[in-house]
Amino acid sequence: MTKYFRRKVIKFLTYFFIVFASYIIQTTPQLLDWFGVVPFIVLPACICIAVFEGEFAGGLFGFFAGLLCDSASETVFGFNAFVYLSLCVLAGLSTIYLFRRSTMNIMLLCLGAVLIRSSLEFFFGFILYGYENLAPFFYTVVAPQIVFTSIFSFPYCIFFRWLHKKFEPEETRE
Amino acid sequence: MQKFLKSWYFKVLCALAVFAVALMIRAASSGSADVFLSQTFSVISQPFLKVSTSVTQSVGDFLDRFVHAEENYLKVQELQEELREANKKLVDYERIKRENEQFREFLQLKETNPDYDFATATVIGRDSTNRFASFTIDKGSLDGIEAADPVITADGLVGIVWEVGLTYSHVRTVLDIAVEVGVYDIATRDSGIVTGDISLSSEGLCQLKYLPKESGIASGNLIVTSGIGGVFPKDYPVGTVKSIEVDKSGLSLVAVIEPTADIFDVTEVLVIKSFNGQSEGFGNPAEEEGGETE
Repeated sequence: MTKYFRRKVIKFLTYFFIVFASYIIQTTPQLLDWFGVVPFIVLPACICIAVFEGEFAGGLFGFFAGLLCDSASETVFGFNAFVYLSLCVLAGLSTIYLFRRSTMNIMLLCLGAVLIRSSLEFFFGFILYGYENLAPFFYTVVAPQIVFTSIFSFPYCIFFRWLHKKFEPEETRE
Repeated sequence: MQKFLKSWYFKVLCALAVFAVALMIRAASSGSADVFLSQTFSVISQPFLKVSTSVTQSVGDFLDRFVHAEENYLKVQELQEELREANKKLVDYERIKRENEQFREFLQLKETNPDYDFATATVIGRDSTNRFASFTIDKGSLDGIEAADPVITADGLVGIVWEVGLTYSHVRTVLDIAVEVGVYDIATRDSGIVTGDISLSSEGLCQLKYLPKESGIASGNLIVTSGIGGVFPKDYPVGTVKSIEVDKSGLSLVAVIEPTADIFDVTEVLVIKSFNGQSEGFGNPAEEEGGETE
């Protein structure tokens, strides 16, 4: 096993551990509960992986993280897997073809991803069923969740940038 | 972009996306999650979730002590106050319950003796050095109590009011050698005097003196007041005969009497202020130390 390959295995194992730990933290009752709002911290983690490691790795991690979230979620099983995979692939491609990997751009990508994910869930889970008085629910639960998750994307962005540099081959470091 | 769309990466990702959509369709149509995948992820994550939840709760509980310290302190104060109130109510309840039971007995007594004019009183003090079980009650001359008023319970005669204050009275019991009560045996009609005895009083017993030598008195016979002298009402129970022996002089019999009233543990008593046959202007027995009360 070459040094490069070993480094890559350790890097992805670390990513796996972070995604899994994020899922545990996100799912643990009362740990991140802030006035009844719990952020999706798994999604920013996957978006960061997609941004720094590319659309394929991001997509795989998104798929895995989505299935993990599906196992504890009330949404249709596979919904998170599909959405996370799609969003991570899009995030990975957009950093290749559209954006630079600046902290602000990554945070905006996370915000966009969370907004899309929450909107899809809100649409398929609530609007489509024709529930009444959904506006207060959106303002008091869904919107704060999006904001809260976006705030969490900042430390994730910093941490993954540092991690990415740490595992980067020495000769390619700036 | 064209390169990505033609790469096997894209095909793998598309396959995963199709797989995810298939899972969704299956879950939506069957109404339940994919059992195998869902359970696999759950089984893997459960131990970690348990640990995480346990740690979170422990840390949360620990921090809670500091975060809610002021609130908890106020709550404790409030609960302590409630506990004090509850204890006070419990004491009141027990007192009222006991009083109620005794008043029921007193009511029955009043019904059988309509001529009695009662005053209920509570024992508020006992002299621990007094061997004749004397006590103090919470009623005095302001309540119409007078010296030499008989003190009874529903069970029987207790004693006599010895000294009277404005709001309290001292009572001497039938165990006291200074108290003498005219009595008779309801079975044999033999009369005598019940009084205390130093050696018997510690056992809660008293003696019946001056019984005729030829008396047929027997153990278990009920002794009641004779009413002679007008200090005690007639025919009120005093005690039962426990044993009989001949007097030292050999001229009469002496019986050991066990009072029917619980002299040592009595807490509520009745003071008979007046009754039919009561003598008028009976003197203060305290002023006639050693004198007979009846």
